[in-house]
Amino acid sequence: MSLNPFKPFASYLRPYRWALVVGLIFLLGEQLVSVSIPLILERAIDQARASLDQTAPDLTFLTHYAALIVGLGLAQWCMAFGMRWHLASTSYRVERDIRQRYFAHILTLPLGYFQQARTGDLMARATNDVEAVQRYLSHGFRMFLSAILGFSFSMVAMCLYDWELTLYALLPMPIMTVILRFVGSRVRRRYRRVQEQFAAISTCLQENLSGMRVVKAFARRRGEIDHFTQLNDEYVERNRRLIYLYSTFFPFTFLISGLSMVLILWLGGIRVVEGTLTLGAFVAFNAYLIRMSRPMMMMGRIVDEYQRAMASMLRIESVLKEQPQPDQYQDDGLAIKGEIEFRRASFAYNGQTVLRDIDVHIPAGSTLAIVGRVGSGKSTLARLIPRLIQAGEGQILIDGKPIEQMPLRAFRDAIGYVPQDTFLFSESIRDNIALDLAAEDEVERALEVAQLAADLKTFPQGLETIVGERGVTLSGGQKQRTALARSVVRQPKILILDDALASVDTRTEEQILTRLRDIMAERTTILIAHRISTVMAADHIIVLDEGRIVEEGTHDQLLARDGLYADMYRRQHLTEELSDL
Amino acid sequence: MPPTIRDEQEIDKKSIDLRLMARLLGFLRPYWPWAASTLLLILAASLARQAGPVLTKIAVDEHIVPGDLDGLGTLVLLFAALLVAQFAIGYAQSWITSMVGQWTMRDVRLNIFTCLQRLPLKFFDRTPIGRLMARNTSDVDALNEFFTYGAVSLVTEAVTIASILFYIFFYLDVELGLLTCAFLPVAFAATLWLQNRTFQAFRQARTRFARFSADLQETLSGIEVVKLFNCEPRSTRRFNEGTDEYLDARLVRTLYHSAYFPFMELCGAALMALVLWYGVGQVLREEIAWGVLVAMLQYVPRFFMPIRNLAEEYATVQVAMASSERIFELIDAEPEPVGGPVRQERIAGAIEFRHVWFAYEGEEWVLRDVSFCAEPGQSLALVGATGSGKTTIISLLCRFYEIQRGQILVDGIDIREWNVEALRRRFGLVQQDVFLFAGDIASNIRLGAPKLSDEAVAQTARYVNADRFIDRLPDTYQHDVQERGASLSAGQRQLLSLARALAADPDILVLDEATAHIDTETEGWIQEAVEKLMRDRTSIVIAHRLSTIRSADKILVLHRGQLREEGRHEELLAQDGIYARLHQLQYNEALA
Repeated sequence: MSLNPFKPFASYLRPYRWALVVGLIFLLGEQLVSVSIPLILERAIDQARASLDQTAPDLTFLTHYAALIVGLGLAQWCMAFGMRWHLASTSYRVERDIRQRYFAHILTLPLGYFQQARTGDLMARATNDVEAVQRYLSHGFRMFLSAILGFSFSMVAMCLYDWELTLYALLPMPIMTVILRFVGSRVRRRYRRVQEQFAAISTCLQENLSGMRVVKAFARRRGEIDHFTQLNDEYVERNRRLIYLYSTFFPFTFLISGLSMVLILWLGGIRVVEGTLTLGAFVAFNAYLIRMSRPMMMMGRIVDEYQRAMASMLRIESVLKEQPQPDQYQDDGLAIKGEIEFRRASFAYNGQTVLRDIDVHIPAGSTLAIVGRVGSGKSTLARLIPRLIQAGEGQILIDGKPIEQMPLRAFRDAIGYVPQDTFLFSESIRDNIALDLAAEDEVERALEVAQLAADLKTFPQGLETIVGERGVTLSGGQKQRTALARSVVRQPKILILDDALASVDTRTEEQILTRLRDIMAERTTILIAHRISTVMAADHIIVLDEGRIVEEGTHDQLLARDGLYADMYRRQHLTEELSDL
Repeated sequence: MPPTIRDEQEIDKKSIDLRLMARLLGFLRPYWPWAASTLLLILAASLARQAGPVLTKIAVDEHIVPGDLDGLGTLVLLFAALLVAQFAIGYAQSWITSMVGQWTMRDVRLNIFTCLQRLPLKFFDRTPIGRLMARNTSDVDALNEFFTYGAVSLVTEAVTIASILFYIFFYLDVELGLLTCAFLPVAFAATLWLQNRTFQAFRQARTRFARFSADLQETLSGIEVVKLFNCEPRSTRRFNEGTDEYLDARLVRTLYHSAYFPFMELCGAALMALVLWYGVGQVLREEIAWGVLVAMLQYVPRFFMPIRNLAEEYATVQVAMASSERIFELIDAEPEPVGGPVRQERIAGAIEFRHVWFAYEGEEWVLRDVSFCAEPGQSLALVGATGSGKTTIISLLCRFYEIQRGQILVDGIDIREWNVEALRRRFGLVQQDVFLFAGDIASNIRLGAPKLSDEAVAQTARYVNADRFIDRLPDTYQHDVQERGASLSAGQRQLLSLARALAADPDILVLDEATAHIDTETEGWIQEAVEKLMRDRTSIVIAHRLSTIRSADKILVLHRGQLREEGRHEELLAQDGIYARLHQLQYNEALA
């Protein structure tokens, strides 16, 4: 344990330092009060013993002492309340602050980070790890201080009575510490083995569930159950080895504190008989002993909580240390016109070239269509524009300016990107489209363009319909059209449709395209599509194959070339014929 | 991570559902001797633990106060012996309790797992894996918490209170005992008050936690949209609102807890004052001995700990109840039919679909009135555009789903009369996207035939040309398949999948050819293997290779869920219908 158990959390605790100070003062007060109660017991009993010799003892002192104890009890209650409240509420506030800082930081990270980090992992840090820190700050830390204060105060009080007897009483404690440390390290090792086995069980389950079709097809039920049983038996076995050791903990602490009691009973008893210790002091001694053994029992748990909190804090910090996506350019209010130029842009992923030497110039307000086979690099090209990914070589310029030098927010505001896989929030359709920004009439217009109005009529709640798992499940086409509306509503200067109408039927698509054309007139549009009918009206068409532009021109020019595009066009015809059969 | 954490944290029961509890305790049945001995041991341990003050009383009254040290040593030894006994009993009790917990949890996990294996595929289509994982991890954990801590703790604390009262009443003083009892209602009233006040906040905290976790998860999975639409401020605002609300709920609970837990110490102080005031008077009136007073003062601080522990454990029980409800819901889900009594070692391999209608959902027919048949040994090729129903036919043949109308027959017997597993064992299924299990190459080949010898595994691999790449791997058949075979190429995975299907020596080959791009060399091997496999047995193939289609005995052309054309390659081409166009569309690429 480091010398300052607060240090790793210092920056988060700073805003609450006064609450912390107040909590600590209360903690000190509470410990002082509670250490004084046995003293009163001693006085009361010894005075009572003394009054035995008197003929008519005056017992009012008993009432006074009893009242004093109740009074101290009340004081202790108040202080303990103040202590717990200040420390615990601070810990919860720190928990919230860490979480919010974590969240805000995550949002600044480049998209690439999320592709290599696992969602479950990032989630665990914001939930379990932050909780572990909170638990330590509230519970472990309080217990730690109480233990230290309670232990030392009690020891001082005991020494004042009889330091020799105190020494005897404490004799079993070092033994306990040594043995607990010894057992503790072993327990940790065995615990780790238990955890590993648990991970194996989870993996097996995950695999079984994802491969259920194969499991069923190969009639593997029995085999899978046997395998799972084996893993579980091993888990129980590893737990058993842990439990052998672990079960000693609690009875053992009882044994040790009991031994102290025995020693006090014996040696203290002799002293009382010899007259070197009063009966009252004997009682007080016993009371202190109980107070001392409690923190000792907690020590193992405190250390455990501290270690967990430290490990968790490290995990959280490791995310907070990630570099945000660079965005140092100030929004200078420059309006984007929408001219796009790719200059020998290339992109590689995991050592594989996806795009090679792309040279395209898209004048502001014109429409570029990109066609090509699956995996030819169409989406990658589109994703380069809003800086979802970063080109390896070459440059992409908008209005003649490299996109890296544009203020990110203003830049992205000017781009409407409708991706292939639609992601909708679990909110109402209205919220999904407006995203808190657009006005009512703009939403209506976007609905019109995306041909969603008719669909909305079939939902009882219309625009307020909640989508997603807790609400209505939209069809693929409806989702895509909602995503389209979301982009259109923001009236972007550059509109990118990345195969965004693939799940929409041909007739609806035509209607959408007709309405989009009015909008597109003033905007730069990039259309990625499989259907030739979608792209034929574009000002310029490029055909991608294996990451290169292999053909380009207008629809008629490309048909005349009789290359890949022409081939696609013929196939399209066949498909249409097929669907009419 | 489950996509539905929103629902996962709900606790709606304030009191304990007795029927649920009874069912939960039913898991203990196989271990009832252990569970019963736990109860006895808890009692014994508690009696041993709480005997200390009584021994102190004897020491004080018979030795210390009278000044007679003879026999104090014996008493001290007795005390020490009792401590050792207490240690032994305590150890045994803790061990047994933990083990019963472990055994029970294993049973619960196995129970869930076994039930999952029996559920129809339809269930898995609908339920996200994350949610099922949560059943087996966090929910089982909650039960474990309940069995090893919650339930035991409830019993232990109650027994502790009882044994302290037992010693006070029978060895110390009845009046002091009554005095102590007078505090029980106060302490329990405080505990109830706490429960009432905090239950709402507890529930709120859990739902709010779930809410902001779900927000976080949504932000992470939709990070692209968040960034594209500059939604960062919006998401942050929401998340901050969520965490602020969560904080509020936690603070309410903390406030009450801060008052409650020290209140138990106040009760202790008050009882101590009373004992002192009344007890010392009694001693002076010579109604009770000094030792009784001393022992009583030792019991007082021990008395209130168990009560506050009870309050702490109550939440564990509530969480466990909610978890067990979800677990039972899963266990009670309707399993897929086991099928009829027919099971045969070998089958001839005749397949017939008779007017089969099928829809995954309601009346959205995926197959309409499909009829065809395959004689034993024949090979059928299924062709059609995406969504025409090819994969569905394969799934139905394996009885992954139940058809709504019509009949499917294997060897002239309705598949509903076959034992499902016995029937599936006769099929060799090769999927389009090959799913490989963790383990080595050999164990993956052995999937359907676990007892296959190494020799036979190698032979099987050789037969389908899979040996050509396996032999090149560093550990050949012992090569570890990692991350579902990510290290293998699509072609290699297919060869492996062919070997896997063949290893079980199936009578009917069900093959969904992959569309993934495969290098020419591997492509050649696969083609050769598929042709060999088709030659020896009845086979039904979703064909993407021209060679496969050409060598098929019969081609079935599916279009929008209907069987539209049927015949051999040349005949169908001559018809100039759907097949002719499909052929031009899909298979021209190979020619171009």
